[in-house]
Amino acid sequence: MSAKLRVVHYLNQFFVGVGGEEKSDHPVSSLPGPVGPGVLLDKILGEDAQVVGTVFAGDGLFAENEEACAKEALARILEFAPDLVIAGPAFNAGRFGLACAAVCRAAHEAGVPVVTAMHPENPGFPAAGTSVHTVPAADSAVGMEEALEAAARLGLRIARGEEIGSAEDEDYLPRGIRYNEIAELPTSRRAVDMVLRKIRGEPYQTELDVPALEEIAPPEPIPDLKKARIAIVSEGGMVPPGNPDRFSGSRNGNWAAYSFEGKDALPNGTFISIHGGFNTVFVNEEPDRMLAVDAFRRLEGEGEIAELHDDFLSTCGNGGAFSEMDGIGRAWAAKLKKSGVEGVVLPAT
Amino acid sequence: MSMRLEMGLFPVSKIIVGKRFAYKDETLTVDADELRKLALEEGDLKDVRFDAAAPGDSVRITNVLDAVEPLYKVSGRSCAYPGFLGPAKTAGEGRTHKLAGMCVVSSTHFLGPMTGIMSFREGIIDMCGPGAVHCTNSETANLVACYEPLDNASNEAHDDAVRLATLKIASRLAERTKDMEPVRVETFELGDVDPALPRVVYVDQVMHQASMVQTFMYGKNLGDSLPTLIHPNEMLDGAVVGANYKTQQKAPTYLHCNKPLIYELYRRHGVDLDFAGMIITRGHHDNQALKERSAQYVAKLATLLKADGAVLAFEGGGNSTVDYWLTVQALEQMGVRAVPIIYEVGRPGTGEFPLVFHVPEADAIVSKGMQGERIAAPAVERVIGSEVVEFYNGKSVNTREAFTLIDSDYYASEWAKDINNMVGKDY
Repeated sequence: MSAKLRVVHYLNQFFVGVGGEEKSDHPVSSLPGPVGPGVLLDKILGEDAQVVGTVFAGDGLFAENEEACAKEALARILEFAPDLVIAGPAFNAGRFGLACAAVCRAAHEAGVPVVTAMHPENPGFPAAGTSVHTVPAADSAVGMEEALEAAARLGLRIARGEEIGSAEDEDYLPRGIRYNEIAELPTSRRAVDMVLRKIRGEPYQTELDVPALEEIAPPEPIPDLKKARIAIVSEGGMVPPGNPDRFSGSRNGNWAAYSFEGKDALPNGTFISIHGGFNTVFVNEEPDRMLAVDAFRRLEGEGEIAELHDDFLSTCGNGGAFSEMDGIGRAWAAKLKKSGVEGVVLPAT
Repeated sequence: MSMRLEMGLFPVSKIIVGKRFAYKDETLTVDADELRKLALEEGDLKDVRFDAAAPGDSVRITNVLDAVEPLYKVSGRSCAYPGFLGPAKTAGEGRTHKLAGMCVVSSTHFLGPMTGIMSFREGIIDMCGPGAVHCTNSETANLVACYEPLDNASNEAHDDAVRLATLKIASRLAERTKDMEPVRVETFELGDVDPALPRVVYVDQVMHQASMVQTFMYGKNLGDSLPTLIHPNEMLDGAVVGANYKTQQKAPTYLHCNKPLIYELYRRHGVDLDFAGMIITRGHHDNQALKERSAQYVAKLATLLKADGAVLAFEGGGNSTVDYWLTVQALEQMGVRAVPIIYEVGRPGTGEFPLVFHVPEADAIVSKGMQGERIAAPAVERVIGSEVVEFYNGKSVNTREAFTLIDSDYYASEWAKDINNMVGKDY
């Protein structure tokens, strides 16, 4: 029989018994063995593990000095040479939840297995990130025993280096990341089962909860187009012949600025599209059918816009990862703002 | 009278490239000279050679275009693959002989210039190793036909020539069994069932974009088509032929003839549902108006079939997903409960947004997992097709050696996810 696993329990000033809100500036401290709910945790851990120490701090102090407190808490945790850190349960106490998240992230980075417990609406849950497992807890301390049991069960498995399955199978809160598994039932069978439940009005569970996207409010209209500098940006994979910046036709992450300074139109051979998701024959024959420099120069000549920006910003959006395209968009916006560009036209494919 | 199809099955687990046709104990011996003559008789191919591979072999098949199941109509009004191998008479009744568990796989290259979507995208089948679950046809015994194009062949002409030759070869093999007794006969008929059972329609969205990315129905591509009704038996007889060569999005003809939802709905017809039929629709319409028109049309056809619910499957990527989700929306808005099957585009473990487009009505989604797993493909003893291939990102790889690739670099990996029961799970 191997030695008992060493567990350090992270709590706040309240659960340790130092005091309530009036003591929320209590410095990061530690005590040997279990304290407060840690006694119950130690009992739950049973033969396999024991609480060797308790680290705690005032929630107010932690909230105001998160980085320093997390660092101090980690130092005290490491003094106990732990195999596992269990933080909380924080229930729906926001500052305590955020402290648990910060302590767990710090301990995880230091190579110590961690688990925390809190209510799904606690802001500490998203703050825990994708490397920390959070088991669900009730919104108040009435759910103490259940939450400690869940934390202990999952925590011991993590501490033993066991492979942790999906959130559904292991009863922790989904962290916003997904992995592939082989389902027990065939794909077609799951689809037919689900549609029959839907038809019968029975409860059904989607296999993909589609996350809500951030709403982007459009900016105010350009007050006077005749005074505005306009730029062309495109995800159509437009590059100089030879593709000097090595854009990929799909799953591309590169972008570049190319100039059409001094050109009134883009004849055949000035740019080509390396985009892999549409029929590029016509654009390659006449690049302006993507970039429309000819039309913008005419508008410029007629005074409809003040000026066409000489550089266009180019990438290939085909199969692009959402976060990568988001990053490119932000970089473009920053660059164009610096150049005094007030509006862009984005020919897409 | 309802359409009744008897499928006489001749299971094949091993193929020998030989000199005389023989079928015994699940082993098929093919007459390579006969098949070569058949492939070259139109004069639109320079040459063809044959090779065989079975599941588990240390073999990698490259340059794959299509995989076709050997079908031959012993009786009934149509031929197999109608519109290609004979007049476009309605398939799906009478008796078909099938060499089951095997495919004729076409492997070739193109000589004309490639641009944008109208490019051949590499298709790799690993018959063994960790990649096998990420491609279709690693589970079938394969007779691989490696075609040489004519020197002056346009890409379109060569594609047409390979398609026809492959269908002919496949059907010729099944024809050789016409006087033999099948090992097993399966019957497909949508007979009358308890009218109280919920009616479920299968909506199958296939791909049409341009040459190299298209789907044929009774010999004609679906370019200008509206969504239309089809009896599942017609699919089983080869009424739909795939010609989409976008690596992971390819749906081999073999799958059009063996859509998992057809078998599942048949299995439950009269048990807990009434299989109301199938609607074929194409994706990747050029603009929003056409996408909406198509989606509305699907939903209307489903209501004409008095469907209570629809299950949807999908071939394609980005742009086509808009057609797909609009179809789900239209179905739900017309009172047909819809369950779409989709693969996720967020790579495993990244938390990336999982879809290109979405509608709130799609609240019951079946996931077939995500793209983007890295696979360590082992060295193999034998490559059928060219050993050096160029991937979509321009990287050149000797496929005889070990190399790393992404799951979506494998042949028809979106369908491999489906048939191998992959699912995306929250972690």
